[in-house]
Amino acid sequence: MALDPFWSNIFSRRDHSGDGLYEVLSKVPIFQDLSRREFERIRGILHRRSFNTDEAIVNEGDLGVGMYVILSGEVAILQEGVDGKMIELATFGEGDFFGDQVLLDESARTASAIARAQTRAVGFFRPDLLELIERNPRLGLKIVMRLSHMISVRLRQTNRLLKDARDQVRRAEEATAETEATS
Amino acid sequence: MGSLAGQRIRLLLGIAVTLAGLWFIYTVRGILAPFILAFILAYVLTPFVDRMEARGLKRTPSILLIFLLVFASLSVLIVTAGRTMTEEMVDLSGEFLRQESRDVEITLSNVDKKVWPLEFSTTSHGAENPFVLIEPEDGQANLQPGGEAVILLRFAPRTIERVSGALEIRFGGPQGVAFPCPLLGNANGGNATRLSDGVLWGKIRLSTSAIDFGDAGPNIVSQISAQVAEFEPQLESLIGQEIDLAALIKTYGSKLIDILLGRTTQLLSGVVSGIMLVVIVPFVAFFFLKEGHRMTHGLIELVPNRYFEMTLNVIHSINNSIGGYIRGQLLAVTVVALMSFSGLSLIGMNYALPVGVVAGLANMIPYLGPLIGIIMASAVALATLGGTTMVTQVVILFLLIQIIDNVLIQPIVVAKSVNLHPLVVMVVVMIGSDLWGMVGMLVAVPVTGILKVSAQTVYEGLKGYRAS
Repeated sequence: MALDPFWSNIFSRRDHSGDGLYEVLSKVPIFQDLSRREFERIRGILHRRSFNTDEAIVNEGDLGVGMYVILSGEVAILQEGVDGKMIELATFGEGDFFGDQVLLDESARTASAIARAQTRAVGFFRPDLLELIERNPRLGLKIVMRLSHMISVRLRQTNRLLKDARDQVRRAEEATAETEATS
Repeated sequence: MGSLAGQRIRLLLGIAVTLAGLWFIYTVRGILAPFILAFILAYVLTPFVDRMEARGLKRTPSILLIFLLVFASLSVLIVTAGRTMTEEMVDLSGEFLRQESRDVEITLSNVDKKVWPLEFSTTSHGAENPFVLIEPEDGQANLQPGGEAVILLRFAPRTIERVSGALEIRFGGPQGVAFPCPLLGNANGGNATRLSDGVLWGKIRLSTSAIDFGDAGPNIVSQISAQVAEFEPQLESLIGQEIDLAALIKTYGSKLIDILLGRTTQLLSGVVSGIMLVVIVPFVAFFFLKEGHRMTHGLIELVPNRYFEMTLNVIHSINNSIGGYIRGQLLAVTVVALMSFSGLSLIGMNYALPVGVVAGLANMIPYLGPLIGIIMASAVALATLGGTTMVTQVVILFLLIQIIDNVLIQPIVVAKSVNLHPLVVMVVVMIGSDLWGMVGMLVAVPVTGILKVSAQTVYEGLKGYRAS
C-alpha cells in the first residue's frame, strides 16, 4: 500500500521512476516546470493515499492542509447549500487536482471531496512545501511561482466576473432610475 | 448502543496501551538517556543541516560536515576549558562530600606477665589539637597479662591542613616513660616515622605502629552553617524566638547533597557509560537527521484517511514547537552560563566555571532555577571564605542576570512561551531528582516543556477539526 513504508529497509534506495507518477503529475500546473530530476527530489514528500467508494477525502469546514492530485478513480466536489442540501459542483478524474489554495494559507476547506469510486490520489501538503523551501529554495520557489501564477489567473477570472456583475448591477440601477423618472 | 460499547472498549484499550507504553519507558529508562540526547541533538542541528542542503550540498555530506564542526568545537572547548572544569568540579564536590571526622581504633595487647597501668593522651604540632581520644574516656587502662585495651581516636580538624601529632602511651604517671605513636591527618598517604615493630618496652603490642587518618575537615555545609551561626543571635533578637538555623542547615544540607550527588553518580555509573554515550548519541542523531523525514513520512502513511490531514498538520506543528523550544532553551542556557561565569570571575570567586555552568543549566527550571543559582553561588562564596561582601556581590550579579534574561533573552529566544505552573515544576523536578538525581532535575523541566508544547499543539490542532 505505502510507497515508502516505515518498516522498509531504510538503507535501500528503490527506483520508483517507473511508476507513472511523473507522467501524471507533470501535467498538473504546479509541477509542470519541474524536470524529471527535480521531480525525483520531491517524490519523497508526496503522500500516496487510496480511498474507498463514498469515502470523504476532505470535508467542508475542516482545516485544509494541502492539495490532492487524482491518479485514478472519480471524485465528486460537493458544497453544502443554504438549505443544508449538498450541491455537486464538479466531478474530477485522473490528472485533476483540488485544494491547491490551502497550500498558501491555512484555511478551512470550502467544499467536500468524496470518492465516487475506488480512488488513488497523491497528496501534497503545506508543511512539506514549507520544509522543501527550507531545504531546497530553488525547487520550492519554482513550485510557489507556479502556485502564485495559478492563483493570479484565477484572480483575473474572478475580477472579470466581478466587473461583469458590477456592470450588470449598474445597468439594472440605471434601468430602475429611468423607470422611476418616467413614472 | 453497540457503537458506544465499541467506543468504550477502544478507550480502555487506548488507556491500557498508554499505561503499557509508560511502564515500558520506565523499565528501559536506564538506556533511554542516549536516545533522548540524540533526539535533542538532532533537533538542534536540523536547521544548520537544512541550510547546508539549501546551499546545494547533499544531506549526508551536510550532516557529516556539521558533525565535524560540532565535534571540532567541542574538542577545542574540552581542551581549553574542560580540564579546569573537571578539576574544579572534582574539587568542589570534594568540598561538599568531605568527611568531617575520621575514627581509628587501635588495639593494645599485653604480652608481658605483669599488669601494666597505662595513660593515653594526644599531642599535635599546631595551635589546635585535632586528634581526640574518645575511648577510654578517662585516658587510662590497666592491662592484665594477656589482656587487651581498645583505644578509639577521632580526627576532627577545623581546617583542611596537613597535621601530624602523636598518641602518647605513658607508663608510670605524668613523669613516667612515654612512647609516641605517630598520627597523621590530611597527609594523603604521607609517610609517618613508624615505630620499628609496634611493640613498646617489649611488653605491649600495638595493632598498628603509625596512623594515617586520611582526609577530613569541615565541608561546605558545615562551613556555611558555622557562618550562619554567627548571625543567629541578631536573627533571634529580630524574630524574638529561639532558632537553630545552623543546625537545620547542617542536617538538611548534608541530606540534600547525599541525595543529589548520590543519584547522579548512580546514573552515570549505570548501564550507559560515558564512552557509550559518546558513541551512541552521534550515531543515533545521525540517523534522526538523515532519515527523520522518512520516518515521520512512513508513520503518517499508516494513519487512516479520516485522521490523515489532522495528524500530518499536528506532527509538523509539534516538530516546529519542539525544535524552537529546544534551540531557544539551549541558547538561553549558553548565554546565562556565560554571563554567570564572566560575572563570577570578575567578582573573583573560586569555582566560577562549574558554578556558572550549573547556574546556566538550572536557569531552564522556571522559578526554582534562578534561586538554585543564587543559593549555590552564595554557598560557594561562603565556603570559599568570601564572606558577606562576596555574597552580596553574587546576589546583585544574579539579579542583574535575571533581569537581562527576562527582558532581553527570554522574549527573543523562547518564541512560544511555555509557562509551566510552579506546582507542576516542583512535582516534575522532584520526580526527576528521584529518578536521575541532579541530571534528572535538570532534564525534567525541558522534557515537561516538550510534552506541554506537544499537548498544546495537538489541542490547538484538534480545535480546528472539532466543527466537523
